[in-house]
Amino acid sequence: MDGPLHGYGIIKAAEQATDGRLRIAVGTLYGALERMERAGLVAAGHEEIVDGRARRYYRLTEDGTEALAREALRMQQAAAVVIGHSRDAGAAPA
Amino acid sequence: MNRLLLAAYPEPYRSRQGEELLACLSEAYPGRSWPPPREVAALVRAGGQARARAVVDDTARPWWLDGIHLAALALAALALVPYLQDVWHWALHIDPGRNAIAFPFSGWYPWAQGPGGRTRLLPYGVLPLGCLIALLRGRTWIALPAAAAMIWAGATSHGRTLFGDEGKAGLSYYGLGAPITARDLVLSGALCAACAVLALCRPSRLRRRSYRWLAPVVLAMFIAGNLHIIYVSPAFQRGLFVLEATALIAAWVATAATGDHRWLIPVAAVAIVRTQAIVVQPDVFMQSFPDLVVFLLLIAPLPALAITAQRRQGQALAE
Repeated sequence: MDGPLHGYGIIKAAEQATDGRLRIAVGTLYGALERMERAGLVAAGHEEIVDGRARRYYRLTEDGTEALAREALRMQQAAAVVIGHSRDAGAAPA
Repeated sequence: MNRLLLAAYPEPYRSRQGEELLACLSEAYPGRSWPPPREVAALVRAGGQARARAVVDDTARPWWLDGIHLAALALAALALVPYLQDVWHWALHIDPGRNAIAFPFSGWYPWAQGPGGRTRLLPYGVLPLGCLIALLRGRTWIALPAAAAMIWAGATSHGRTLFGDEGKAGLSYYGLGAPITARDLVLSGALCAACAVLALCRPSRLRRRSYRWLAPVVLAMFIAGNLHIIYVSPAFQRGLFVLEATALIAAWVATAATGDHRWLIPVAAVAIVRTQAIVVQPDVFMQSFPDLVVFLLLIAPLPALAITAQRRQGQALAE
């Protein structure tokens, strides 16, 4: 993952990574950040004021990076199972 | 207006991250003073969850004590519901005979003597109201005698000069969003038992809530008193049902966010009291809603909350 990001930066990054399909609500994002901070997966870093707006930057901790890798592997395996089933079944004629 | 939405979050969260959240909102929705409905819903939900987690994080008292405290507050509010209009009239010296619907069963006040009616000094509603205020402030030694006086007032015979014949005569249980009157001793008995537990077996101080929690009570009294709505009115019944459904959803959200069982206690207490009122006092008004629907709405939240708490705890262990 990229370096530390502030709240709106995370929303923009998710939007760009999904070609605009995912737009995280601010309330949802900060609820998730709070839960992950409590679980030690994310840590709040430095703060700054940009154009009069308060920004705090968040970064993944080591535990967070490991959890992300585990979750990505789990999703990859799940996707492989589905793709494998599709190949075995064969494509239906048009 | 965005700042108004921050009120959904607990104070420590607001002071720590409030400005940052507002800045993120203004960046995400530039030029808008009010975010879209989807965002409002997400903020309110996240604020409620943050409040629930803040309650659970406060380990100054055991969860069961907080649960019984919440149950006592819910029961005191339930007992006050039928008397909102009466207390409002008494507090403002409004002649009840001219304004209240179905009035004569409860008696006249000395400053508003009517023809041929009994006289009473106080409205019965001051007892559950006093109990509610004392519980809000964590004063169980005031709440306990108030709850005991509710049993006495509901159990003794007619013709008393203190509370009139309120609770022993007059309209009774009605429909789904049913307020329960003073004659129902299970409600006042359960409230008294909860207050006794809080007063006698408390390992730590009770939570003291702000007087601001009385604002919705005063608003309800204002509406009931000025619009001359009594508890048998369908409008009142629907309003109360919406309030109960909102409280149940809030209990479910809090349980789902924390996996804590404390919110199960008030839900169970209210469900037991309401269910027995339906079983014991079915009357013609009850036909307005099928029994099965009423029972399901009252009983279904209990296993739902218990399962939600277990699942959340299971998830926490897995993490």
